[in-house]
Amino acid sequence: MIRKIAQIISWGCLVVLLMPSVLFLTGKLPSLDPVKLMMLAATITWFVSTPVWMWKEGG
Amino acid sequence: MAETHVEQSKRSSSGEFEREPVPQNALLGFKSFIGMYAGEHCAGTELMIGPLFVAAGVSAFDVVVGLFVGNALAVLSWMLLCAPIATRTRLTLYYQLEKICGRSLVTLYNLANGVMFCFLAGAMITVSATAVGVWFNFPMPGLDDLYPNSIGWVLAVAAVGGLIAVVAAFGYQTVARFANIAAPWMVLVFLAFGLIGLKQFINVTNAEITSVGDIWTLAKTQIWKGGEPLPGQVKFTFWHVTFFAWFCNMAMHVGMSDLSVFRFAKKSWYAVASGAGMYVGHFMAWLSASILYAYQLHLDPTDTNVLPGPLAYRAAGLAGLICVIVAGWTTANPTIYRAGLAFQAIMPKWSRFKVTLITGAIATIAGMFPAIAMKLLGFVALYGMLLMPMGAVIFVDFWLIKKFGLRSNYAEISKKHFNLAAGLTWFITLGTCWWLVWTGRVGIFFVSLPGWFFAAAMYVVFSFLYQKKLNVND
Repeated sequence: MIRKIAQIISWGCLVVLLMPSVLFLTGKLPSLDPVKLMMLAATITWFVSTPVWMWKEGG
Repeated sequence: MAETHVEQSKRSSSGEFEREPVPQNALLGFKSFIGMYAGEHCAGTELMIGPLFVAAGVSAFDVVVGLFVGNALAVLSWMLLCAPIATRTRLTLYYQLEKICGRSLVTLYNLANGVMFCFLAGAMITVSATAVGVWFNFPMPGLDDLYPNSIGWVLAVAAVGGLIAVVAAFGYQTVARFANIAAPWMVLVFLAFGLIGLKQFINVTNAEITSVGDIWTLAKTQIWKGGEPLPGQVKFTFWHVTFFAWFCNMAMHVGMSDLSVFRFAKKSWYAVASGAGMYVGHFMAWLSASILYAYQLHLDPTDTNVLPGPLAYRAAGLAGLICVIVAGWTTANPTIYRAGLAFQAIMPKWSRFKVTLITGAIATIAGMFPAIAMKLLGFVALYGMLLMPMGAVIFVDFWLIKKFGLRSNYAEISKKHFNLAAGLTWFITLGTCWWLVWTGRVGIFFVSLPGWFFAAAMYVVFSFLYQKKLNVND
């Protein structure tokens, strides 16, 4: 169950990681600051959630 | 360079399959190779190569189409040259070479390979150290710098390289697993670099973008404008880009290093998986990184420094900076490990720990000299050229030599430690290629193609003379 939730969070992180730059490109996000902030949040969450399911899979 | 099932399988089986063909039950599926190549070719050095294209005055058509064609040729080289031999012999490169060339010549090959891996790892450490510079704000090397230019830079490289070396010596597998986790994230950060850089260009030029054609116009007129390269850089044309993209991994495909990888493939066509690495790392990532550098030049044409740390920070803030550190670290780790393996083959009595530490120390010292990273395009071409002749030797020995009435795997059957035919082929091909480059007759990016055919012909001629002289018992 935890593994499933961690997986969903990880995939969500990848969406949140890329989405701000797409929105910035299309002009929906006018400033770069929220893009950087969202990318950082997605990065931290990715490295917290992904080892929960991927570390075991890799090893 | 993320570790995957292939790497794990190679390592865990090192006691079993290093000197025997990989058995059927150890073969791996197609997906393993996709993951491996996508991760391995989205490395810290991509952040150097993309900007260096812009510094070389490349035009939009030349870089986009050149990369498309060159990467396709690289994939075909893996599919048609390397994988068919790998899936037939299922041997490591080193064992295959030992059978052909003999142990002494393989030792020389290991030395050359190990040294080049050290320098490559040094360039990766350089990339990571540029991120440290953003935090501590010390003077960092410029595009034309060959030597360390500040105490801060030396200390930063020493700290980053030392840490990488110690971690590699203690916990290669842990970093390799971390690299697996980082790979999907890293690919998307690279993509984000490109999207953000593109928008920054649109904003700063006030370009009206309503179609793909408008983006192409922006690319041609603002990003990859062509024209003269920056001072001290070689002008890159379509052919330079194509050949660079084709041959930057020459050691792996034409040079046959990846025999060790594809011996685990069920089918030789699995080598098409290398396309994942080529079009993610050597197309998307290079273009993204080059957009960031072009934007820097657009803002200040005098700021020619190629520093991945500041470039990434400007585009994506802390996430970008973390990407630079992780990209350099996770790719330097296996490179140091591989260099250590090559050196350990020469000095088998030394422990893996000791060899990895010494290798890491050499890579760190190399990383202090920005010349390697700033001249990375030429260095990568040199690396391919150095190992290419042995790839030609393996190809001829496997497919052609029997057609000339000669014997393949000659060192093995003649119990020779040094196959003079292979050795002379290597040295004379290298000498000839070097002379052609040195005298300006052929550029370093192009010399390896005729060099391969030259080496193939030399090996047949020398084998004919050498094998005829020696009386070999069946």
